[in-house]
Amino acid sequence: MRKPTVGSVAKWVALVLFCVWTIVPIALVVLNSFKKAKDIFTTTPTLFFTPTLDNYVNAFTKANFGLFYLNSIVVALVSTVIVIVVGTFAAYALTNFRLPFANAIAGGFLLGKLVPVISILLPLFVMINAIGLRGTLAGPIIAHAALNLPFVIWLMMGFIRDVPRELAQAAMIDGCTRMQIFWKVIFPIILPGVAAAFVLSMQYSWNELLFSLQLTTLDTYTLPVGIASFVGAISVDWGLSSAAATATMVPLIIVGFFVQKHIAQGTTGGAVKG
Amino acid sequence: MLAWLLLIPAAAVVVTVMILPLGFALFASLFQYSLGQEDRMVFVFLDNYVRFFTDPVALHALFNTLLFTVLSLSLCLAVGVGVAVLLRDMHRPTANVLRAIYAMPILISPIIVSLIWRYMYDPTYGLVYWLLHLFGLGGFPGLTSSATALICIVIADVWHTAPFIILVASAGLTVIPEELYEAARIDNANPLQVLFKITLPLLTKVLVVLILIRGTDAFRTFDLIYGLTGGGPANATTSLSIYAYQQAFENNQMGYAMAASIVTLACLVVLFGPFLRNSAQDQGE
Amino acid sequence: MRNVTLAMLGVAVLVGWSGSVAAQTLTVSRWAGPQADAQKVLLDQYAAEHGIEIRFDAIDYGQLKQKQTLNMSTKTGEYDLIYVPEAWFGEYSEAGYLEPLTKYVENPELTGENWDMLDFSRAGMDVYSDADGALKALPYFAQTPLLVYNKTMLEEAGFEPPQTWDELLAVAKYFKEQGTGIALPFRQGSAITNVLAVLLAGNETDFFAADGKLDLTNPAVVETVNFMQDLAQYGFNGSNGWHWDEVNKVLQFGQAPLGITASGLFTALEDEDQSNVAGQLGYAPIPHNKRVAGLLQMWGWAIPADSKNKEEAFKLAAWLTSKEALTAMSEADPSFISFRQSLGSDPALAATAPWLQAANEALASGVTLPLRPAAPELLTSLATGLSSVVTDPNADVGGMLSGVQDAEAGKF
Repeated sequence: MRKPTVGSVAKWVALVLFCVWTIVPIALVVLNSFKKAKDIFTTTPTLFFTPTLDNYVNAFTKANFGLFYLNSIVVALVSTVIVIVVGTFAAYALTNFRLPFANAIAGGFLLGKLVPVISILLPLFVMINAIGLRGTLAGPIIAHAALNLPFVIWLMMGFIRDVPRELAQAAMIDGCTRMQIFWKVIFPIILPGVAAAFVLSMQYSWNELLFSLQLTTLDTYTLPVGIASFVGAISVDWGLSSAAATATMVPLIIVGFFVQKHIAQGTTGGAVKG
Repeated sequence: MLAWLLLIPAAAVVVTVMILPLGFALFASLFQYSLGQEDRMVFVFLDNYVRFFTDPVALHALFNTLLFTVLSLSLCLAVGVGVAVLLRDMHRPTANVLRAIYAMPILISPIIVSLIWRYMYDPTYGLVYWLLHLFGLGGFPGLTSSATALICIVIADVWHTAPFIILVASAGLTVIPEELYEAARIDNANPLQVLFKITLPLLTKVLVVLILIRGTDAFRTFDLIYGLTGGGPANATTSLSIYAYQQAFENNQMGYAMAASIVTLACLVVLFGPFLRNSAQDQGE
Repeated sequence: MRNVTLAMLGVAVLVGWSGSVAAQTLTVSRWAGPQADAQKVLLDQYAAEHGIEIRFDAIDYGQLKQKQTLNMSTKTGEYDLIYVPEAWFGEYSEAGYLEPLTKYVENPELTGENWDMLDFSRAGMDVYSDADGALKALPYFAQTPLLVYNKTMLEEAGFEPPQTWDELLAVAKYFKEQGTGIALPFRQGSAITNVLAVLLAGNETDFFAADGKLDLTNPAVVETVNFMQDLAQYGFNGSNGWHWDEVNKVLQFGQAPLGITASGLFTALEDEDQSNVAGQLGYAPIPHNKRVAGLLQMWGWAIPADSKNKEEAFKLAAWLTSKEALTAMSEADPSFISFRQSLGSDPALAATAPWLQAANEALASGVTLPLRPAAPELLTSLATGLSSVVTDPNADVGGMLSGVQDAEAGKF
């Protein structure tokens, strides 16, 4: 053990302070979710109070949270799987085949990352309604998939480019088809990228409000719609909102705790190794 | 042939959900019209754009958006990269646990983030003011002054998004060869020299990715501002997305709102287009 | 063979499925919150009694107009009954979204026996009629901003409840010096313009001159906004960033001695479980300069023109606005005030709603917000301008008003 220097003490102080800064706001909401209103609205923060589960009971009876959970899981999973399959194939096509205009096409996809959502909401609503999908989970699934797609294509292009050419060439000499090369050689190598795309896409979809509210109906609402109905209410019930917020964010935080490594590795993908 | 087959699904999704609607928005931006009164559309050609660039409120929103993006992005990068650097030569398991803790806010939805910070910033019940009072700074105007409201929102945004930078920058740092740092130590370089001569230059590509992802998101921030200030006080925090939303659904000026969102898109392309090209080319090498 | 069986099974399931939903379904659109919770209970009863299914789509207020507009402009037929405030009514009616109710209200088979249309206050019926006089929504819920004060705190400080601007300033100044002040909904948004509308009426002036032209530079308007700027200096810390809800909180938990907030949110103030000051609060019209005034803010039920169940929807709307249902609603949520004159003086309701007298007084002299097509733009500009003068005691009120006047006058 080295002797602690001023520098290392300062570093520890900084890191611990950053921990506090990160945790306290979240802890506050979690604590509030177990408080009665009178304990939430005090001028000095109350740490000792009689915990109550009323807020949770209330939240789960007032809104159909069970259904919202189910819808959220379906929307997030299906849109993510679509994005990854479609996006990875497109990335493969754009990198490993000498397509004309490949760069221009890739640029076009990336442009999609910049589109402001408000400009596409109305036309998308009209389209979804015209093909009879309004009020089904297909609306948010399609919207989320499209909004995530540009980024995922870009991410996967970075990963696929990093796969050494020789591997694919060797496989080709062994008589593999292009698709066999993809599945046998490339896919296993780019798995970390797939994991990152998976997490980021799930995260977006899980939290997205606008399309999940406007393209759906009562039976197909997702969790953010449920929370918004508490948080955005004319009169906010903070205990109730906090309970709903806690019930929504805690599962994701726990998942995130275990997969954060993938988010990091994946996002940097090609950039890190380059 | 196979390549096109692989490309078609993605192209179909992007074209139907993004490009066609964008075309419609472009078309609608040339008209003066209200939703539900399409039969009374008036073709005004570029008038909506002229109106945008002559309306002080719109220009204020543009300015706020730029300011918000610059502040939030630079603060996020400074905090995020700073913490990542501190974590770099730390005992591995400890660093991993800390990173996992720091990662928590990333996955929280923006509505919840604004709920959290509305409570934090409340002058009567909020923790921020409780702390400020301890230091005798209870008079801080926070969200209620046009001078400080934007920075308060930036701070909440940094809380939400800096963790993402920490994770990504950490991953970027792992591939910088240890020998470089050894050499620096032998040369007696001070930590700042190490940061600016070794770490940051070798992190450039990662930084470009981060600027691209975070910058474009910051430029379009909606929920956080809407939840915390609704654009006030005195429009000090009205961003382009808030402005376009108000025009579309509060003032019922669909054509003008579409023009405002096309301007937003144009700004994004001008600001971040170079980064997009760079990263596309880097990958193309 | 197996496929055929499966297909038949599928058909059977589908038929069975559609059979089970053959009962009439009505979809209702409104905002979420305590009032919606109380209403849901009533609607469930109605559904059970009439053998229909009611889908109660209560969502975030901030997204409500967007959702209603998207559905009605696209004619999806999603909604059978929508909750509409006076501020959106003109736009909806103009766009042809709303079914005229004239022929429905005259049909006793649809309205029920004792549904007495003349009992609705005239003001409500007028606002929900279009330019040709066709009624397009049934007035349902009225609210107005009021002054709420903590009787104990005012008595201890030796003040009577303020009735005029000068008295209000004196009280607010005193409490500001004590470290609190008056809680005001002065966030840049709709509440601050609502307060302005009441104060203008209380100063016997208006946004518009007698000839209908925008008239913000008139001295009485300038005087009113100057008063708001002065009052804001004595505002409770944070007031300039608050909507009604935050004002409510500081009153409800006993931190603020007085404040201006919306009567529709009063239930929680007197609820022992949620309030630290239940029983200690007094209610009065917002203090005035020349005469007592209030703001008539309302919500009513309208049937979208694209609804496929208009008659059934009207029956439900008529039931919701019947005396029995309105009484039940006010019992469940005391801050619910209806447009039925016969219920305004109901002693049973007044007992649970200590604000009822003040609210009725303010509503009786209530004005409405500007309702002309360009009004939302005017109110957005005014909200911004007001926000700039209340956050800066040195800001030039006259200059701000003439700026808004110049920008908006052409639209009226």
